[in-house]
Amino acid sequence: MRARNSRARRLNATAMLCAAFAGLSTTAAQAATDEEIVLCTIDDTTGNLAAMSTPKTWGYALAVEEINEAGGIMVDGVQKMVKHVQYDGQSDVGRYGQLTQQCIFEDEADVVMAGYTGAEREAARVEAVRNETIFWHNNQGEGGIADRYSFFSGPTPEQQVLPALEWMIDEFGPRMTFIGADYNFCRAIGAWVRTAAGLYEGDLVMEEYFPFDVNQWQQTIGEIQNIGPDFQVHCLVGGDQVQFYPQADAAGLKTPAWSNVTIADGYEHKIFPAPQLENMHVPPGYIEDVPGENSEAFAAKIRERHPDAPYVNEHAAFGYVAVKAMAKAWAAAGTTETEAVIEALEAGVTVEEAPGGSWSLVGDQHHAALPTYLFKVEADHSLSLISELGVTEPSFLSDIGVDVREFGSGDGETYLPTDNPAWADFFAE
Amino acid sequence: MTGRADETTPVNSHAKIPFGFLRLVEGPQTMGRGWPFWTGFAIVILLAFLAPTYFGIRPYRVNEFIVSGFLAASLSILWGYAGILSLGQAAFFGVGGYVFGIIGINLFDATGNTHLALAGGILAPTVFAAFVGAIMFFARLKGVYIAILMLVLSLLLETFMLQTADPEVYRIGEALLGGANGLRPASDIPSVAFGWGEAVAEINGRREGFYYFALTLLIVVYLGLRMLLNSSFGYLLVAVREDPDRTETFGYDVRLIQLAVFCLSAALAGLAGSLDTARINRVDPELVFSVSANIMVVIWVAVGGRKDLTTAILGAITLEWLYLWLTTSGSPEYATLVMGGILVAAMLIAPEGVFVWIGNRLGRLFGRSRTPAAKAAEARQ
Amino acid sequence: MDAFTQIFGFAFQYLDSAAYLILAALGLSIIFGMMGVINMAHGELMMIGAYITAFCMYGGIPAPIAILLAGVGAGIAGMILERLIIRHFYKQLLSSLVVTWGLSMIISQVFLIMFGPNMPSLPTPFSDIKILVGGEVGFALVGAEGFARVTGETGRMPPGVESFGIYRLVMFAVAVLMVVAVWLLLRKTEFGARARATMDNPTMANALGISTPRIYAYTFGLGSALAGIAGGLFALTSAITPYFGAAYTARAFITVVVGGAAGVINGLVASVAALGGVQTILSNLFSVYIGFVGMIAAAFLILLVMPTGISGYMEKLRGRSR
Repeated sequence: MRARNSRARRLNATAMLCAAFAGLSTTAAQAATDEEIVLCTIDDTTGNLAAMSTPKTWGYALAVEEINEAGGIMVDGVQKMVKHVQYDGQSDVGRYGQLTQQCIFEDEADVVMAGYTGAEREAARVEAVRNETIFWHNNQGEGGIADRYSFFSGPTPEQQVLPALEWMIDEFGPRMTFIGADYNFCRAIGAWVRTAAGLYEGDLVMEEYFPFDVNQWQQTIGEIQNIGPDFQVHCLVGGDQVQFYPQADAAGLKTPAWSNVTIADGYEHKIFPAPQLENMHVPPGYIEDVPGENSEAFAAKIRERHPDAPYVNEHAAFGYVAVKAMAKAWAAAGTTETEAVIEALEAGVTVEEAPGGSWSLVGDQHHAALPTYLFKVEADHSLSLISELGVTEPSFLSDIGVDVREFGSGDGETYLPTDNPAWADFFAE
Repeated sequence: MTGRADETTPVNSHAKIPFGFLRLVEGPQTMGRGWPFWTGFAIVILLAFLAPTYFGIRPYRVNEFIVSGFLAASLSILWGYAGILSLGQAAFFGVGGYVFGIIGINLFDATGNTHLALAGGILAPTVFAAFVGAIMFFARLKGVYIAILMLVLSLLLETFMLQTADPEVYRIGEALLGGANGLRPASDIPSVAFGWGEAVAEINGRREGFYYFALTLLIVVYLGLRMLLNSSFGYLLVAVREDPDRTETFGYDVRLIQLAVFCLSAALAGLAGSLDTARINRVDPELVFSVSANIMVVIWVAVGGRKDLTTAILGAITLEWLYLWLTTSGSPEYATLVMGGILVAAMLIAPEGVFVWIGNRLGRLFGRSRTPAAKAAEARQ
Repeated sequence: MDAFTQIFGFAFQYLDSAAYLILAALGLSIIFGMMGVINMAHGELMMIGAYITAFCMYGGIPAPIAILLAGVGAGIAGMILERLIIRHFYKQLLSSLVVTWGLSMIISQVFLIMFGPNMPSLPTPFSDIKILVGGEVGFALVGAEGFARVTGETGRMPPGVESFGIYRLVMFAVAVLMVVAVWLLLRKTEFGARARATMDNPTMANALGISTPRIYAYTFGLGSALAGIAGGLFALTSAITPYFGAAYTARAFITVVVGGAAGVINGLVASVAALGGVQTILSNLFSVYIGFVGMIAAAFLILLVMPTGISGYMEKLRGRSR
């Protein structure tokens, strides 16, 4: 830390030269002072993922504002303010590595929070971890990442897929179809759906994956109609794939569906005309429609600051929660020194004011215990809460004997449901 | 590769002097000659080497731009000199990057160096190019058809790599292809490392070491390519670009020349890809195979000036620097807007390339240093 | 599933896939084929069409008129771009690629800043009318009530019956109309004759008194208008964002190049027929995944076998047989 600072000072002294040499003018002198704690966030505020990720920046900003208004955080015996440095990832995975380096080397970030998609997350995470900086990913993810420096505030499949599909099987019957984008996240969700089918006596009668560019769905709609499942599971991602919904509506495919990538991120019920998403079921950890004081207060605060906000989504909430969790960890550690802060986080941090309901980090998992909710999209695209799935304590990693606290350097391991020997039968073909 | 090319070497009068080939660093195929250019060149190199220490250049940041320089050079010799446009140059970059990573993950612990990984990262795209190129050039594919064919190839690679998430199936030794999230385990992807046993120098891609290493390599490659381009092979490339039929009537097999430059270009792109994977210890499909990854290479080279090696490399470094700078300073929402404006303005003002335009003006100042291409451009104005 | 249902489904998919490729590529094929400009901003012109359609329809204008206005608006936008910028880049494939890439960055970013990352989508027209095929139904065109009668209480299709929305067929019909209209325009009108003359030999055309700059401007405007109409049609069935068009550009471009430059319209039609056919057949035989990848792979193979695109190849064959 110290060495870096002395280097930064020397850089300041030569900032003029530097600017003259290469036009690096504005960033050269940005090195942080010791008076502030630096939170560095990278999200897509332009490019095709902007609609989902922009609200996350609102969540970060709100949390920082509240922390600083309350007088900052006591570390190293001084009240320090949180300085929020925010970069635009431009929906370009190439930016994430670059900007994470910028956060760490230039801004001397104490924590980096970045990414929406898995690829963005990995680009930023690998870089942060390699430089031993605490990293957070703050929307739903496929779970299963075990790494000393990485923390995850959003819900995981064991909190979404398992309880929600148990409910769906009870309600509609066991036969289900799965269609999803052919990439890591949806492949993982597919494995979790298979697990849910195994655990709750469901019957997965179709499992098919599609390239992102597929936008003609009649054949698949016909296949699903022929199968006539009790309900469908979707993991359709991106502008091309979501054209499934208007086409399914036009073809009259009304079978109930479940998806964890719809509504929570991209508030599709506000964007697609009713009733294209009718009978869709979604399991968010937070959306504006979640009832409760926390939720209403949070949405009101965001709306006060962003009156044009189309919707307050899951990203906003978990961005907010992650910053609050870090604030508590810094305060508990009494320092911003990485190892001490990780210890404080692993000791367990609870954010009671979390918009979706009390949220607490589980130390040996680096994932959080949090409540999830099952909503149904009605014909007029209003959302009705049909079941509170309750708080799910994450246990996927500990069930397979992984304790994240035992991980050293390196970027950790990624586990899938297939790694759980108790579930091996579900995957035996 | 080009048996006939050697027979025509006497084209250059310096050939009889020992080490006379060194004189080929300047010639009509490359911009810049005489003391004004080489003095400027020396000053730029000197400043570049002093930059991290004295001018606050951040290696972690500029290292990427240097790697872009190799990629730009690879497209410049292919498109600028031989007239073969590829809209899929990043595909070779990506293949090189993946192969470097896969070999590195598997062998680094055993060997402690990345000699084989680097060799593989260069050879794999070369072999791949030889295969694709042989089919393309012997089918007499031309112009925009090659460009699109290469883009399609890159998109096929992207689609394939995106669906390689399953760790059970897509595993090569210790390396997992990793689908959209990129090659895993990322922490095992080595940086560039040379040497044996105790005497191994591992060059961290975020530090000054990589900067000096990559910069030196870029200069060596640059000077080497200048010599190649001013040799009879370079003349042949330009002949193929300007009039393939006439070149053929002189008894050359245009297809072999095209294939040779295509492979050379792929090797360079593979080198760039390997260096990039080593630099950030990471490679993923969107980064290397997407439409925008491919188009960016064309944009660097076109904006810098495709018909000259120097200007193409400068184009890449400058544009990447500018775009990152715009992204990280001020209001990001205008970064893309300004960048788009720069591309349009650059092509309107200097259709042959910004640095060609600047070079010609500097050249006029010193009364020298014109390439035939530059003269032609001036004549047109 | 009986044979008739299968055949109908197959035909539907083929038309759907063909409609998509024609609409995405028609405007581009004119601009590329006649002016030698690689227009990377093609998707953004479609996006402009989509936004115009959306704003018109929010304002209560019926869809067909809104889509026509989208064509007019995108056409005007295209002509402005042509006069200001594109006219400097005729027959310069790569400079035009860079410039239009820059333009596409600017246009989508301006829309993002002006209208935000998302617009409310539009309802798909005719979504109440469905075609039911197979099983006890046989073949029927039904409205909302008829559909409800067939599906009954459960809202589920009886076994063996497959249902199809008709908007996709409407899109195909419009696509065919557009192709015919463009063909007539180029073959049967004076503008068409001048445009083709300009394309074949601009200097000669100019010497004969044709105002080539004006022809170029109109041609670019026509291509842009077709993109705008296509954008309007797609807007009725997908999310409308500033990046709406990006997905179309690459595929449109591949379709056009596979078609070849020897005949703008014939080439496009042949290319669409081939690529759409490969996609449909492979999707049905194997999976949608294989169908999609197969279509790209087919483009690759066609280019290898026919180095100047399908239309160039056909011309060569014709020349040989003579």
